[in-house]
Amino acid sequence: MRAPRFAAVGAAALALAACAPTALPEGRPETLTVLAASSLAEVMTTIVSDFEADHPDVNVAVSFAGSSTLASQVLEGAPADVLATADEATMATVSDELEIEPQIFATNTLTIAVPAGNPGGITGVDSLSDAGVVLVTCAPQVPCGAATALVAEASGATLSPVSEESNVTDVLGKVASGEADAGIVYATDLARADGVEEVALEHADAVVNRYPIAALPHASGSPSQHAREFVAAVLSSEGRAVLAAAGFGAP
Amino acid sequence: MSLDAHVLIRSRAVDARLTVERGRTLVLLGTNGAGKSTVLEAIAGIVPVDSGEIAIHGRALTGGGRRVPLASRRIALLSQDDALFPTMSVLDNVAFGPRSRGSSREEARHTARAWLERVGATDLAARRPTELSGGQARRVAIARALAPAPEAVLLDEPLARLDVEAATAIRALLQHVLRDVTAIVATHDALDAHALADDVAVIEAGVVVEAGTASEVLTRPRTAFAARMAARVLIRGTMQGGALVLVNGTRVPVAGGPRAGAAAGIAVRPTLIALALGDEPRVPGRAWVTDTVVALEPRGDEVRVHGSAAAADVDPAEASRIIVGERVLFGVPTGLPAYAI
Amino acid sequence: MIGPRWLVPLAVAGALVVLLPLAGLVSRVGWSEFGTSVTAPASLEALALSLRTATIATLLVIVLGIPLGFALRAMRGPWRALVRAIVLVPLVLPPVVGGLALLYAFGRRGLLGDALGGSLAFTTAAVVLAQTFVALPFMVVSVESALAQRSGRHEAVAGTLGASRTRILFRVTLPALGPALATGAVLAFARALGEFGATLTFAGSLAGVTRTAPLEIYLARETDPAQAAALSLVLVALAVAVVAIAYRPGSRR
Repeated sequence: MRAPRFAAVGAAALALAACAPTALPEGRPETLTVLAASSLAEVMTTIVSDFEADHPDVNVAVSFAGSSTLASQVLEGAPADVLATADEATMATVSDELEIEPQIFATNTLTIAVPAGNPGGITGVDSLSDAGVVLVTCAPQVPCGAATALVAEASGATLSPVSEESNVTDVLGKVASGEADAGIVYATDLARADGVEEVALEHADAVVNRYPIAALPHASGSPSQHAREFVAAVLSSEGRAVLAAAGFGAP
Repeated sequence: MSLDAHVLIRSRAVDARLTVERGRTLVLLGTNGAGKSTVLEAIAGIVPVDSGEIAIHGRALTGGGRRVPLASRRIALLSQDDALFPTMSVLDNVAFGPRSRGSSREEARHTARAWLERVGATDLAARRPTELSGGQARRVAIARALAPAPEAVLLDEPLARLDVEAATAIRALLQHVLRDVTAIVATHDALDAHALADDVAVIEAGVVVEAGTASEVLTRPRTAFAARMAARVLIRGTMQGGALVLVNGTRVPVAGGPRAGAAAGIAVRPTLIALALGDEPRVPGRAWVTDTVVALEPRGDEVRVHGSAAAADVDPAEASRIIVGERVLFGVPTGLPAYAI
Repeated sequence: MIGPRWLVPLAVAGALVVLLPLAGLVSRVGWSEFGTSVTAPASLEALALSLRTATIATLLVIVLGIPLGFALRAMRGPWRALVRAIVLVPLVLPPVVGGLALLYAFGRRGLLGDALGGSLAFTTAAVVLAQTFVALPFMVVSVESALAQRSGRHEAVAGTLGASRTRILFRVTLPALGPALATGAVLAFARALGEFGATLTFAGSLAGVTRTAPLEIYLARETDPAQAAALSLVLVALAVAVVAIAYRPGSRR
């Protein structure tokens, strides 16, 4: 009774192998390696499982880290099929070296995170410089800190943070634990954090962070079919819906 | 005025009573493991006692549930291992006590120099303890123990682990520095006892079995153990008409002694006792005691043949012919002073 | 002691596990810019802060670790093993966990938060506290094991000579523990210098206040990898020097 079904699956696999040159024979799923910025962790996981449901012959392995780390991994020759970074400058370091065509798939803006209940009574960017307000931001050397500086400039506020962290996660940690009264973070980071609330940041649109994604060329010189399909899935309306739900803006 | 101690430590089976009159030296005589070190450490305050009382010149150190802390006892201890402080110079070692007792740094050093001179170690002042020979270290340790002018000093085997030459020199030094000092010297050596003791207490298995002046205990011991520690053998019997009559009936003519019928004994150095096997000719002028060999004890150049009533030292060649359990005759000199037991 | 020959390839492999990452680090240092990388204001500020905080932390470790070592030695039976295990926890704790633990104790909302009024977080004192927390076990272990080697005879003799317990401690016991104390202090200093996770989690990162050399490296890694490598090399050199001092031949004699 079962043999015919096995035969049918085998035939389908063969058919797929015939039309998709990069698919491995014998029905073994191809592994697609996606490198994504840490801030994309949740949305990428959702998009990946949707993608895998649509492509049963592909097994997607996602690796999350800071954008610069990922970029340097790619430049060091780590095997990867797709790269999604949290800013264009980092992607540019890769596109300078490799033949790729990055596309913007999401945007993100800064906002103010306060501990649950807003114990510091933060009302907006001006109250961040009030005496006694403990503010934590990203260090100006890293992208989220550079963006913070630009927004502060646009709003005319002078910020004096007690700590300049290397990444958003460390900023959120200080706020969520109540050590800081406020932190400046990305809307998306705030959306997935527990124990924090949002206070609107005026002039946040002075810096709109754009998230580029690119299919990376293989040893053969051009990206694989599945890598292109994955990028397309991220840019599709289904992908956009997932991104919007996590606080990302449209490009 | 005296140092009076009753030391009771059940876990070490020690129950010893001692008294030292002010300015006198008591030699505590016993074998290794008899409890000498424990008794000294208890008096010094290092080892806690279960009960008992220790008092010096009327000042109680233990008893009634109180215990005077180490630093307030004013009893110095010279331990077998010298225990000089390795991180200090010899001078600072000796100055440590006076400085701890409140002398200024200069006074303490002055006292220390005086003591180093008394023990003949002036030229060692700048050295580290690791740079000293055994005899030098012992001199420094003696100076250190005496420098704070303790009310009593306890010396644990002060002549142990020294070569013959150093031991001789240190023995002479102790005779000199312990004069007029209230001291207890623990030793297993009869020579040290003769050289240093005003009084002697013999300790066996944690208990003082005999105590008295040096001449009493060393020349007229009343127990076999005390006799042994005094390097003698005690021959017991009953007085009868100018002779000591042994259990087996042998008569040993003696000088003096208690009244007839009283228990008495003579303490004889085993080298003075002759030994004869069953059919050997017997030298006249001795009382020959028939006995059975109990044990053979090698003692350096000689072997001590122990019987149940007497013992004799013989040379190893002769001893090699003797077997335990064999019947022998001990030739005891006659005319030795007898005393009541 | 000479072992069997088959130990040799394993020993070589073991050496490579240590040497290759160090070689990798050296390979990334831009030697032409090494001087400017190390003397850049941010680098110097971070190094100075690290040396200052690690020195204070080492002093605290000496003052607190020695009594703790004595207390540990004085304990009897199962208590000692239990307390020792607790005191040594910072040695084996993941650094971030150490930071969280400090946060929950001394942070604004921590056990002592109200008592401290939130004044500790984001200060240099928080850095020193984090460093002391992770470095303390080195001193405690050093002191305890050195005390275990002692019979107590010297202390007893000193007592019979009339010395108070304080005098015995300072004149007899501590001098004798000298080499162990030096080793403990040097290792504690090295550990404090390298402290990262607990500082990042607990103290924050602000130039001149809480951004020690390891945090500067962490930040520079994102923006200026050559500076990160140069500063890392300086820390490695310091660590090698410190360990060489602590374990120099004869230091235990």
